[in-house]
Amino acid sequence: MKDYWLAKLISCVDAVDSRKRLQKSIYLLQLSGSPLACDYILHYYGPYSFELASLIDQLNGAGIIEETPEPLASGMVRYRSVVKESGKKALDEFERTDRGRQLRAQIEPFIEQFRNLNNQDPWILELAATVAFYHEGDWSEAQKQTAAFKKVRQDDKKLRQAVELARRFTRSA
Amino acid sequence: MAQKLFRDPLYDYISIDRDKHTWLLDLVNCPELQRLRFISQLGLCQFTYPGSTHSRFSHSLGVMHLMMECLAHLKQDHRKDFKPLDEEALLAAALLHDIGHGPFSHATERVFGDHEARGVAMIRDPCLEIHKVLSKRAKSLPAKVAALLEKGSQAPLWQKSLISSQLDLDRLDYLRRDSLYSGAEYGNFDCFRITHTMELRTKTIEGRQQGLFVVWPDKSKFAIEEYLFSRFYMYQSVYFHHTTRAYEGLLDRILTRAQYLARNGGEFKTQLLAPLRILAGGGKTRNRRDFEGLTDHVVLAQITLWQECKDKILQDLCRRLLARKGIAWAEAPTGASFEMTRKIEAVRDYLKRQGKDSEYYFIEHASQATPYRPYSSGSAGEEQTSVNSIMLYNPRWRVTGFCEISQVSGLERLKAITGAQPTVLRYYFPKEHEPEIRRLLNG
Repeated sequence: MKDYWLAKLISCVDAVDSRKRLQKSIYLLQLSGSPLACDYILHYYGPYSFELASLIDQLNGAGIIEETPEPLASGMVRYRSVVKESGKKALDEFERTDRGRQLRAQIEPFIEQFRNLNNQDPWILELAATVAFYHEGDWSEAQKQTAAFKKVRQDDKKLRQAVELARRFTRSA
Repeated sequence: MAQKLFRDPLYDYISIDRDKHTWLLDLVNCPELQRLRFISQLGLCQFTYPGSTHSRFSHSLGVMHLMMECLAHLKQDHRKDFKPLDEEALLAAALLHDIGHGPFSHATERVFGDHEARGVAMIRDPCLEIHKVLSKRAKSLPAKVAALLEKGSQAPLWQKSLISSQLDLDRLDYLRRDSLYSGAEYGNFDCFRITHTMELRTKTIEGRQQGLFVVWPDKSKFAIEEYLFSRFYMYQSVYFHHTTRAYEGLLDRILTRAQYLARNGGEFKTQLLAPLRILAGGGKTRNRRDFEGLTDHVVLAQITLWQECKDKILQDLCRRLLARKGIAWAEAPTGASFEMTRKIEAVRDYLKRQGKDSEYYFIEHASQATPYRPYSSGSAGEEQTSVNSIMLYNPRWRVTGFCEISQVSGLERLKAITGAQPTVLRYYFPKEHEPEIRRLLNG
């Protein structure tokens, strides 16, 4: 029931401003024990899940969420996601069922964290998810690997903030 | 030369040389194989296509016949690749590949268990006639035949691919046979060309020589393309037909209900026809005596009796099946999976209010058949072999001369049916509740 959890999280914020933010936020939430768990690989922008991308497409196709393309100066396009009114209605109806109540209870402890991640600086979020991906017990090693991968200085201020953010999520796991 | 001849509507005659293959004729006469006369090849497909009443027995003879033709063809150029007993093992494996099937073939597998594992266990069982006939021919023959049919065994690749692959003799027979008996003509293709142009070749990958592969020359590509499309059409039109699936689903529910009642003891268990007493033990048996009598006829006789049984659910399900009426269906609407969950719960609640247990009166069936996968194992990067893909050969092709069929030029049409096909999800339920259930599913 991953599509429900994803739609529920998105419905708890006004909008998610990019797919990249969604990918990194869901990854960090997963590290802290969120039931919405997917397989991730290390992509150019950090941890990436094909499964999550497919879930987003499914919710789009089912008319639960709406993605609006926003062209960027770089020539790239960013997709802003919101849960549609019909999607909110579908979520409400589902949450009135026994199964819906059960699943809502499982995702509720992570909603506040998702809101915080949604307000996080996107670059710090990307770095944090990457540090967390590299982390295998040694934070300074993960920081070093991330610095090399992302081509930033190891003592970069935002990278240090990212390590702190990643630690918060892996600590609460 | 004395020949035992079998009349067959697909090949006209199937013959066994009495002098050369006496043991094979003995195998045909074993009770384990004769039992297949009473197992329908296509389950309840005759509820849709009245002509499809053929048995697993005629199909097994057909696969054996194709194996004889193939081996005769391959031996012309590859006699040195045949080791002692290879021919016997392949013929026996072709003949015995379906002996583990329960009543109505795949339709009752959920209750009576997987036929492949059972078939292998039967060949290895020294108490069974088939084992005795094989052992009499050669002591090592039962193990060799079992290895050809067992998943993951180390039998030679080319031999396994004749028995079970994406272009094997089993499929070559059943597609055309099922097409002939059902009357659905799109199952036909140029089988002769496929069986009489196959070759064995050694493939070298990165300097390592692989085992022998079954390959086809480039000139056979259209015959194989036709075969793949036939498979696609047969699945869409015959094997996954909604009426067949509805009544096979109902048969499964009948046996599940009977299993529940039998496990709970009482007089129900004692009144079961003897071969069906295994239902009390869960249905999955390897006991040879139990299995011997487990045929379509026994199940149908029992269902006829259950029409008057005390359990109202079982009684009603059996009456619907034998009357072939009272079941409607609907395709699952598109939407997020959590929306579907809610709708299905609503249907279950509705049926409960109507006094119908949804475990028996709301049947889900997901059908998904891919006619051909370039990598059937699904793991990217795994080397292609003739077991998991169809290979063509042309000495003019670059590097090795081999090419996986979906990459061959001129076969672009194959892309439409290659790779995973969408899953079609259907629900089956009592006809009298159709309007309300359709409303709930679409609401």
